[in-house]
Amino acid sequence: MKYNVPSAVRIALCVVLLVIAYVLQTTLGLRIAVFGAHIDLLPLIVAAAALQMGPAAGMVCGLAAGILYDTTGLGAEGLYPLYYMICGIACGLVRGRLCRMERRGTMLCAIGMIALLAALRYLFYFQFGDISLLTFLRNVIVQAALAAVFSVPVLAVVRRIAGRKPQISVSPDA
Amino acid sequence: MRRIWNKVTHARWFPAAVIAAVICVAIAIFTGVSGQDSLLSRAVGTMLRPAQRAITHTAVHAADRYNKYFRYDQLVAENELLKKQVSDLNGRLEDAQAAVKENQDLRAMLGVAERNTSFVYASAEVIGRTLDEWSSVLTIDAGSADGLEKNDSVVTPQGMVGYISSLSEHSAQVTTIIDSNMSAGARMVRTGEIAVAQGDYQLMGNGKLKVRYLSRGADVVVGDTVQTSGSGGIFPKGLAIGTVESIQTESDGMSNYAVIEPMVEIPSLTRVFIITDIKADGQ
Repeated sequence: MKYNVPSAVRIALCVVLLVIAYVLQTTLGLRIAVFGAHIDLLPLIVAAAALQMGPAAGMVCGLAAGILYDTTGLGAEGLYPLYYMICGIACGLVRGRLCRMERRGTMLCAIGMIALLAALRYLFYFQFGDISLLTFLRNVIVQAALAAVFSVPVLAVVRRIAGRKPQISVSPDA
Repeated sequence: MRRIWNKVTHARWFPAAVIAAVICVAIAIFTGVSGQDSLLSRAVGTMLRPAQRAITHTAVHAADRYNKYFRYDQLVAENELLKKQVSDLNGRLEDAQAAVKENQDLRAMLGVAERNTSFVYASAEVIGRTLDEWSSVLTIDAGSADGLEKNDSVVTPQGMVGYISSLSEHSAQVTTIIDSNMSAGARMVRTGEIAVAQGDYQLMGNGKLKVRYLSRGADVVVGDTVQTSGSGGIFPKGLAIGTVESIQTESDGMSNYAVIEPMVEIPSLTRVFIITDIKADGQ
């Protein structure tokens, strides 16, 4: 017997997944460091939820992820929720175009979020400092590569929560 | 483009998104102007704190068990090394006590009042770390209810950790010495050279910071110890920051800077002490 879980419950489960990822990352330091850059699962979960369940899910998960970032006290609050909410909605809006390539779509969306945020921070913060552009770019590229790798298992988990089956390509001969 | 706009504005979630965006902007303005945390982040932090504390305790306990069973030989060797260091330090302590006694006698002869400062500490456990790639911030499980205030210095017995950058009633965020926002007056212990200790984004990834504005001819060598100078009014004088790892020339060629290895290993911190009061006695 199949259970028809309301979409609100599925979105709430994604928020719970965000909270779990946040708590594990900030306490156990469950962050894999590669050349000084760390993987962050929150943008991946937001992208996967938006692509699986649409803009509404992207909006809620983006807000939740931003609020979790704000609790670590990184400066003026409200900006992270706003940013990830907009990104979540945007990912949800392109869901139709990326429905045939879920994995690549999740990777692209997650990489886009991370790269855009890094670019905004560079433009509005580091332009007053003396950071090397090459070092900055290297870190962004490594973060993006890590996001691409980890977006696959994250997508698998979010797909389960969303109650969707993986896309199966059908051979023309079948 | 028009189709996308129509799709967005006619969606059921659009009004909620607009309201959420307005609230986010309002919170950003409020927290930016007032410097205080919002009620929402404080509430979320309070709800998550028990889970963070429980996981941290479990992780520390598991690490202790692991060390006990799988790193016993290493711990025995480390214990022997520490015993030798204690013995060496005891000898130096006796010499230092003799020097202090002589200093007191000379001050008494000259009629100079002795200046002592003592610190009042509160202790706290590290229950969280920043997710952001661009900062180094710790979360501790003590707040204003425990007597902490903004800009209080955070230390360990090894040296300086950072300062309280924001706090709520039962938790606080500590900006560490390697964060790019950190800046403190510094002093070379051996030579007395005054400089500025600053976090640096490029060095932060390696857990290091830099000491800037050293003159070109400054007598600084690898291994020199750096302490806070007390200037600036935030950090008291005499807190150990780190040791010089290398000396480089600034890009403008006018001065040098030193790369500093902190005394405190920030990624592995589990417990810190916060200086809540400084008492200076005069005679």
